[in-house]
Amino acid sequence: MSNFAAHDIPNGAGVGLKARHYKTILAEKPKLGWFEVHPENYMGAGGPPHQYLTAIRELYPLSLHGVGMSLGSPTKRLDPAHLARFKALIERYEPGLISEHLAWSTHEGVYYNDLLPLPYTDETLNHVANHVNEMQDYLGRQVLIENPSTYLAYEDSPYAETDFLRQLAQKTGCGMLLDVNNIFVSAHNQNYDPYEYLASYPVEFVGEIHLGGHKVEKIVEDDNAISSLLIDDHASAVSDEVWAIYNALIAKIGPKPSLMEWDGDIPEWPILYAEAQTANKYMAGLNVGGNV
Amino acid sequence: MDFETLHKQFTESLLKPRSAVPNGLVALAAPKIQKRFGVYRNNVMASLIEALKANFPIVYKLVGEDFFKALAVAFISHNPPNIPMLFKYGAQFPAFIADYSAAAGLPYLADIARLEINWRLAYHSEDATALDISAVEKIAPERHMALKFKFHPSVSILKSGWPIFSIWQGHEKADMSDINLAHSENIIIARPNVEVMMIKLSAAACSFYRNMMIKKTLGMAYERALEIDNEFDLSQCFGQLFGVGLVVDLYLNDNGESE
Repeated sequence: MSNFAAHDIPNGAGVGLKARHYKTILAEKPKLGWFEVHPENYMGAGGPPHQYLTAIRELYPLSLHGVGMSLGSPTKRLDPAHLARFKALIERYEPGLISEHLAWSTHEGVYYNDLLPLPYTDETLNHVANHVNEMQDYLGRQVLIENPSTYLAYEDSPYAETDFLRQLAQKTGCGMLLDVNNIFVSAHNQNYDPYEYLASYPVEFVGEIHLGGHKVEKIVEDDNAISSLLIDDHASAVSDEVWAIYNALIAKIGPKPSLMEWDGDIPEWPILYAEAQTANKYMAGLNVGGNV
Repeated sequence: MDFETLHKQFTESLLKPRSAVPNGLVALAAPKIQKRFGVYRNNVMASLIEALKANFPIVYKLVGEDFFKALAVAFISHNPPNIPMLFKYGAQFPAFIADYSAAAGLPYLADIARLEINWRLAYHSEDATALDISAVEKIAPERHMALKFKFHPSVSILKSGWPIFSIWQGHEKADMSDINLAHSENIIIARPNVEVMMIKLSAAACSFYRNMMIKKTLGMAYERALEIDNEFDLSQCFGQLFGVGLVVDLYLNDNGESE
């Protein structure tokens, strides 16, 4: 018998767990709904990562958010070794939620460590659906699929991303992880309205929300034309525009598990904790200022 | 174009900064597609450089930002990762450093990278409970020389022609002034509990531990150590083996039974 906390992730704020916060969290036991980790960081045999994660799992529910399954790869099957490692972590930690990305990261045995974009066609829809089915069947669990941040488009991509995701959920029974920062980043980069994206997004399938920061990169081209791209770097606080989209989303679907992701220039624990509390305030229906 | 071909072209351009942007991609607004594809190129390269910095922090500190970046870019282009667990990335980094002509002035650098790999292997290795020395005390003294040990799964030995322990220690203390590069040092690396430990070994102790790790008897390992140093102190080594917690089980000679 494990000494773990409840499995289910509550409809409240959670935080992406970082090694530099392990000791503070265990010492202070902050009031917080849940934590999330990238399973790839816990795929070693033992050592401090597992010792700390086990101790934290005894206090909080946990979500596993994969970055390495490469569901959008054109291979016939997913990597069986990676599936087995993922399943072993599910058995070890009994996570309340499991998620992956609408993207690819591996090609012909090389792992690129980025979430690369897919064209949205019938061919890719069937392919990703097969992979999601394979992952869910193997793990024996529903998987939530996250919308990507994108920086370019494919010429031949007849589906809108939101339609593609809806069809994917209908075909496979998967859920949706809606990353609100990714909506804002992609909408800026691809020149569309983030609220139109939200209006057409299959919100009925949302099981989790992600919040994170991005940076603005000024682009100067050879002909001196100036423009900008937003880069999804998770290295700063959530922007006011992203909070506004989040506010509109939860007004529509109510409180959901909402994760604060901060992966670069990681701040001290109190700053990250305060960001998570801001999400809780929105969920409690409080207007906390900014451009809301 | 099928998406297998699209992926193939996409990846072929990712790690080559001067190659053309693959076909089939468009920019729906400013900036142009070259800048947009460049974001993916930069994400991949920058994140893998960060992964190498995280796995080889001492190499990074020894050579500095600019040198490390050039070294990492050259390495990544030839040896991209093959699994999504980046804490394992860089197994070929020491060999690459040894052949990297710009690092010829730091001949010990490849061995420092080896030390960092062994450190990380120990950190992530399987956990195991160390054996208490009382287990040895229960065995009749006349049979001690027939003992064999099973080591903690985190244990490894690194032999070097360079003073790697002193360089590592100097890096920890931010003082490299007293290091004599003419010395060679061997170390044992282990993580019996939470912290990874490194201990400098004499040539005789190194031989003793290596023989014990390949399941020679205590008697044989002791004899070999005495051949290297006739003042080899077995009781001191024994104290280290059990004091640090390097042994998880013991056997008597070849019967494989634990007593």
